[in-house]
Amino acid sequence: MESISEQLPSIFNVAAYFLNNNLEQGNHQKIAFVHGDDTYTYDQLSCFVQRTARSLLSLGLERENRIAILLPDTPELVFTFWGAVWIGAVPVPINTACNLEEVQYILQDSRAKILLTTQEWQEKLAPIESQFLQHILLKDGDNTFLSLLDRQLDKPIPCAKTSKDEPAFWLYTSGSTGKPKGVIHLHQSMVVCAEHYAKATLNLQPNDITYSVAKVPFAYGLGNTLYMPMAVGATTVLSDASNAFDIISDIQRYRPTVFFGIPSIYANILAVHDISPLDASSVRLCVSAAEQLPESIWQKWRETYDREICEGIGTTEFLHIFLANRLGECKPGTSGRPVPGYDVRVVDENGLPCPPGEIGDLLVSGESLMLGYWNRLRETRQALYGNTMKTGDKYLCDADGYFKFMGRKDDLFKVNGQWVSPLEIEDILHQHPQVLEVAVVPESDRGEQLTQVVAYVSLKPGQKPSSELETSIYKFAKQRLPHFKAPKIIYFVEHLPRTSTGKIHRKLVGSSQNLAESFYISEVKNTK
Amino acid sequence: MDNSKAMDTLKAILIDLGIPKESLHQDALLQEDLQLDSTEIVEIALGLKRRLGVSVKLEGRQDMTLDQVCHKVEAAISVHSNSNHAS
Repeated sequence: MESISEQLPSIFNVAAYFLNNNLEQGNHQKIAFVHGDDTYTYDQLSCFVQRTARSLLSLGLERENRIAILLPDTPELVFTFWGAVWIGAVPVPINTACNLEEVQYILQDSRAKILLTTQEWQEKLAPIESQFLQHILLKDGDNTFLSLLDRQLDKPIPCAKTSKDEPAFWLYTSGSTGKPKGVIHLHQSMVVCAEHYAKATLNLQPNDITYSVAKVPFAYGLGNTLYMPMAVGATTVLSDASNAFDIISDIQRYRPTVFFGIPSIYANILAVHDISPLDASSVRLCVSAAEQLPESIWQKWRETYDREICEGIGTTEFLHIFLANRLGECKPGTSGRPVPGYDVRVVDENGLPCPPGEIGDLLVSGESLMLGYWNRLRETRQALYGNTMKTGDKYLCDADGYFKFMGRKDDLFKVNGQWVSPLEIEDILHQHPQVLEVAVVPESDRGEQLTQVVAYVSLKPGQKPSSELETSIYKFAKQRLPHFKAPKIIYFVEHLPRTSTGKIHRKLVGSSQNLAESFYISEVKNTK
Repeated sequence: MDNSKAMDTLKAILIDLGIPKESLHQDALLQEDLQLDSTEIVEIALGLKRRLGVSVKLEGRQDMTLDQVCHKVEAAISVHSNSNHAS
């Protein structure tokens, strides 16, 4: 596979590249995206992006300055992302599901000069403690961002002469320390993913309509919604769906041809089939990423809707998917085979390739790899060497070349497509008045089910396991954590296994067989 | 069905989901007040189907109070019984 990067000129602006390509190919009146009842053509998109660029310049946003965008998937997000890239500034989309503390941290850490958000978020964030922030723009209220754009002239504005190797945007990803990390991507990165995955792997076409469950601030959503459809002149749906019923209704309404889902949403759509059956007739391609898709869901989806799910896996650091199943060649329960342009290897502790079927560390090389984590030299150096990244995932590669996820090297895991640190949950459960020790682990019945949060709990002297106590711990967690992080199952044990240094041995805790042999496990089990 | 049976069933489902009983007021919003996520809202719909035999689509774009969910349950039962009478 030829290098995509080498084919790009050294002076390269990715916003101008995608927008101008569409106009040069005659896509002026082609619909770029749909939002609610509104549609925007590529001509309109280009016009709004340039108005945004002009507005941001007039507010003093300069090249390399960051602009934070804390919005749901809306036209304003799209215009501002591309408008900032157009002038060489750096957009930082922020997930609206972040909590206040995370958003405050990202605003401070990114040193964003401008924040575009909603009135509701502005009120929640007040006062914003960032000495770098100079302007807050609002999507709603008396003086909306769109009204600011309406006051701009439709006069072309030249794009910044950026380098293809220059930072174009940042995405924040959860870190094991609890503080999100700013992942820096370059102007060339999106082109690499679009060429290798959207075109060469998915065969995305100009007549496709894409629909993504993951929102734009996620690397998966950014590709599905923002730049992959643009790379081929397709149409995308900007959706405000928040659960499976909304998504089913959206699919009925917008008739997408490519559905980018996540495992929990596939499971939920199947679960509500008797209540609200999905009309999947428009969908030619179903994709899943963000966490491992259980084979049982894959099979049930095919039985119900007569469609395969092309599961893949990627990371924020690589911007999008690097292992993928292809239509007609899917092997359920695996992440698929390498996407063209990526070298994916499973290696042992000495860095030597593992034979087929043997578990090792997943190493990935590819041109879409991040520049690094912002202000996190140690983590960057630990993760990268050359254009290779140690993902922290444990994988095996079978004799047919399909890669299968076997767990994490660290203690992190994913639920509902989002990273979960057991430490955060354990910290909360420790505060329960009757809990002495706790260890939180993921359980997925060896990949057969969606990952669930499981807590192993030992009690303070004099306390006895009971279903009332279990309910009390369960409620305690739900009142203090995002609900998807609350344990689904609680096991009471007499003691928790420890390492030789006295730390709780979480890997051994995860092995219930070992626990059952060595420790008393209460029969109390939350089946909710 | 009267509203109280639908409300009792809904509250029982929410308690099973680990939501404290004391926060279950009829005006409590599922997302804003009870902090329910997308999977939990699907679980409510499945619980209503299982316990009352009604199909209620709980779309999440507009947050709903417990009372509004019960109205949806009653409307779904009414449609169901009318269609049974018609046939």
